[in-house]
Amino acid sequence: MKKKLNHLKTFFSKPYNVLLLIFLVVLAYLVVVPLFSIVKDTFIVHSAEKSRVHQAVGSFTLYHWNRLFVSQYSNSLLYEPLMHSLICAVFSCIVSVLIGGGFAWLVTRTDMRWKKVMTKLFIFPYIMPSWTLALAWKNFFKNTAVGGAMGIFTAATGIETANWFAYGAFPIILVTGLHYAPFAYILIGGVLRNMDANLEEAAVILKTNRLRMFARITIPMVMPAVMSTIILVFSSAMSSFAVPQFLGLPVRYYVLTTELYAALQGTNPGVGYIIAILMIIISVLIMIGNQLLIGKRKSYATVTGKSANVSVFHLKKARNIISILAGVVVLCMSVIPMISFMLQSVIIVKGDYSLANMTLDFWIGISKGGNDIMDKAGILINSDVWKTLFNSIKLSAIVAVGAGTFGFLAGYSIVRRRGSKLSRIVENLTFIPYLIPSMAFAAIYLSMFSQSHGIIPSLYGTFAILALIGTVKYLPMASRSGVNSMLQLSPEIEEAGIIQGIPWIKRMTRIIVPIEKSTIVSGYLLPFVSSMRELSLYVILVTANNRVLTTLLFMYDEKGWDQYSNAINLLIIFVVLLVNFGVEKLTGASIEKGVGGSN
Amino acid sequence: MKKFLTMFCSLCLCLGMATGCSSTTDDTPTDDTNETGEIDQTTFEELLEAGKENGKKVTVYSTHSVVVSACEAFKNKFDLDVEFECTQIGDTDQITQVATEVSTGAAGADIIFIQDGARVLTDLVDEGYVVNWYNQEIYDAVGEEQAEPLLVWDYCNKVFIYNTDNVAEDEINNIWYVTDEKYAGTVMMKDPFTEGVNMDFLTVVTSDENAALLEEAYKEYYGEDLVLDDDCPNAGYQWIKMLYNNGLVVGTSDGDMAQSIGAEGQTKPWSGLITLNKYVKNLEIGYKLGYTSDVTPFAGFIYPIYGLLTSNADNPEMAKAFLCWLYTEDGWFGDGETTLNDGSVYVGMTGRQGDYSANTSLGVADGDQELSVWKDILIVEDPEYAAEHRADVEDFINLIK
Repeated sequence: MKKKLNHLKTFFSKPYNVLLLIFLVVLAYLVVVPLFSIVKDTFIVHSAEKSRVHQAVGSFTLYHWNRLFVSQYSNSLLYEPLMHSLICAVFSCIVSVLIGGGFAWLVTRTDMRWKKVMTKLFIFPYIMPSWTLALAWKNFFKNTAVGGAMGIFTAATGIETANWFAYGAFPIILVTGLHYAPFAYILIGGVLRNMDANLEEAAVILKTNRLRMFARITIPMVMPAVMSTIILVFSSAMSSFAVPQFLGLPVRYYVLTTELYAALQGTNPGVGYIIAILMIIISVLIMIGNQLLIGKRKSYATVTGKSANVSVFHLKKARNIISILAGVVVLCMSVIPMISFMLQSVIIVKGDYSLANMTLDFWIGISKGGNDIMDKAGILINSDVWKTLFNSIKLSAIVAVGAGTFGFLAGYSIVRRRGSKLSRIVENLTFIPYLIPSMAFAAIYLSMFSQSHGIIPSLYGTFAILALIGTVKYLPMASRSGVNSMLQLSPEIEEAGIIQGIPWIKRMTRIIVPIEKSTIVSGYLLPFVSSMRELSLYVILVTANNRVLTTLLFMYDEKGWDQYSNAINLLIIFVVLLVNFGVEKLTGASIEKGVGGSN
Repeated sequence: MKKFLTMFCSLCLCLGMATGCSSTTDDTPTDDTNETGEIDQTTFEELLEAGKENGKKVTVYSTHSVVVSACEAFKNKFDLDVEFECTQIGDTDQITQVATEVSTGAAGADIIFIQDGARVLTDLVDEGYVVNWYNQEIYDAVGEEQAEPLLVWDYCNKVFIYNTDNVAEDEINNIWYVTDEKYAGTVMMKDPFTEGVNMDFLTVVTSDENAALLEEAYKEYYGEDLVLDDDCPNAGYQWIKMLYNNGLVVGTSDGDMAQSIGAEGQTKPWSGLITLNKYVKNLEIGYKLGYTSDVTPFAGFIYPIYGLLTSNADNPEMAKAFLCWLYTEDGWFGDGETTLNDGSVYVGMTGRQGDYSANTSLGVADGDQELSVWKDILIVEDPEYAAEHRADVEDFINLIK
């Protein structure tokens, strides 16, 4: 008995044990319980469904499952959107790998011009909100066939874009692919840069031709990076909401996320909750695939040695043309969207891009009292926009501090107790939010925190629920980088402190934190930036009193107030870039290092 | 009942006196007057005093923007110490929000102004989250028809507007035109799945009475009897099916659609079912738009924005007072001197076409037609019928869209 008690005492005398236990309880409540809560929601009648299910609210029903899987509506509610999601995700992967990988090859292995500027600009889409390119696409190519004024392209050329070109699968794939192309560039480029030149030199000595060399050496070498890219892009594309909402809805092209959103907003939320569960299952399957591949990749690691000078492929005559082409693609991904936002935010009558039709009213015009587009104060002097901006920054800061701090502490305690069952469970728990697509996660929290649970009141409509979901959702980013960096840190350093009798808090603040500074700052930066540009996680949880910039943009876009939505988009990009570059300058931490940690 | 009696006694005592007389208030929301069949006799002044005494914040949600400025005007006009928080929130969001707030006892709205009667009835009224309240003053102003089952504050109408360069003035005169090949892919309407009033309209179209009218109109337009498809129970469904199959363009914003219909230099005969208000606004800034009110058997639809109290209002008295005031001339048009927080004068609905007070004695904006005229030629939202049949119509459209 006494032995046991002593055992317990020693266990609790270690701060990381206490931390692990706290994480276990809190994460079980915030991550595991909600999963059960949403399952329950697929079997009950919600108030909006009374008139279709013809049963009392809250009673048990199989209606949702029947309707989604085996009714005459299954096709339009489930199978078609699922097909669309898969098609968009698969082709987005191809676009990403081709463009990102191709660019990586050009940068690392050829004598293309302007590499330095281009690589900086190529990363841009990754820093910007995911819908940036979608909004830009709409600005350029929208047509009048689906209601709305013509875009810049039609205005300039007089050519009416076809529906398939302006909306639906084609632009969704292209835009999503381009948005995630930086993933491919960073991951594949890393391999190409560090590739062992001996392999290629050996081939050159053996007089292997270029094509064969590429097919037999280069491609197999980058294959693991390509696979990682594919998995990242695939899961990001599957859970992407804003892009299909902006580009798919006008032609009623639904994917799983937009169908989920429509179901939750409409008269059959039960069906929405099932879709959310489905999305989680798909995401888990992808992750299992990823695990299998990572096992494979380890065997590759022995092949890649440290690189000597990699031979540069001379583009010769094609150098200028290829450089210009690459430059154009890079500009289309970075600078030109910005120009379109600026243009769109100053025109009065949509579709008319003449100077006479331009005004700065949407930026700095004073309020005219009404509540229509032309009556509102410009966004720079509009108190609502400032309030929302402040709310966005406040939310992102809290989420960053929460996720960053807890993530680091989780990383610390997981590593310190590595090998124990408790440590493994907590590590897996911190990872679950990563597997749950944002929109599905929000649906879960909506269902769970709309009711009060014991001492926790209903959190619906509060700022707290946004802060909570953001912190939990971005926890994996910070905890993973925490685990990785703590693994590199020898425990002796802390043990030296323990021998000296230095208390835990002081050991942390004086030893661990200073050493891990750069990781910790990245752990804060990534959640901050992600939260600033997050839409799908917040859009169904935000109420009128705690709007954030992204949901405001979404609302204005729905209303057709393009001028405001474009101006606000610029504002978001400005804040994100400012924070990103500010932190980069101050600490050397940068968002590119975190690639792979977010979707 | 106790409160009612106290109110009634104080009413007698204060009769004829201009000074405010406060009555005892309790915090429990009371709304038993309608249930007992009697109409609440509390007056605006009494409610105002009781609301001041209550002192708690009044939270207002509204789909209509004018209510938000009306809040400010109301507070400023009566120099109230009570805080008002008024937010414009769309109907779908309001329904989720109010249902959650009231069912969990969270802080939230005292009074809501909301459209989409079908969902308001099933999701909010049936569940007891909001109550239909009015007093004698309001009842006298609006009459039985607009007080039950839900109290109407404002009506909005959607009519067929068209591009005047490509559509002749009398070209659109039968509602079946939307199914005509000549207009394929050129008819617009707000997505009924994103804005419920449109779904309510399509639902009411399928009522027996309206289906009969449509059948008649079909013959008039095409010169032959309507033959129903197997999946269409009546002419209403058939019309919806043909409307969708003829390439109906659904949008998310009336203003946006009005602009694309009326943009200059087009060649297609664009038209659409758009709020009269957005039509007027865009006509004023130069779009080539016309509208028609002469369509067989109906020229569009008219839907109410209801004013309803939540069942857990913190300051129900002040919310009720605000509601009463909105039916007065000052509340609807402004008194010409009360200012908003930004210093501009509150003008309410002045000059605003396409908004009609349920208090018809207030009149309509210049150039507009009386509410009764519109009600004759448009389909009027019937929340009870729509609530009962809407799921059927939604599912029907889910299959054909």
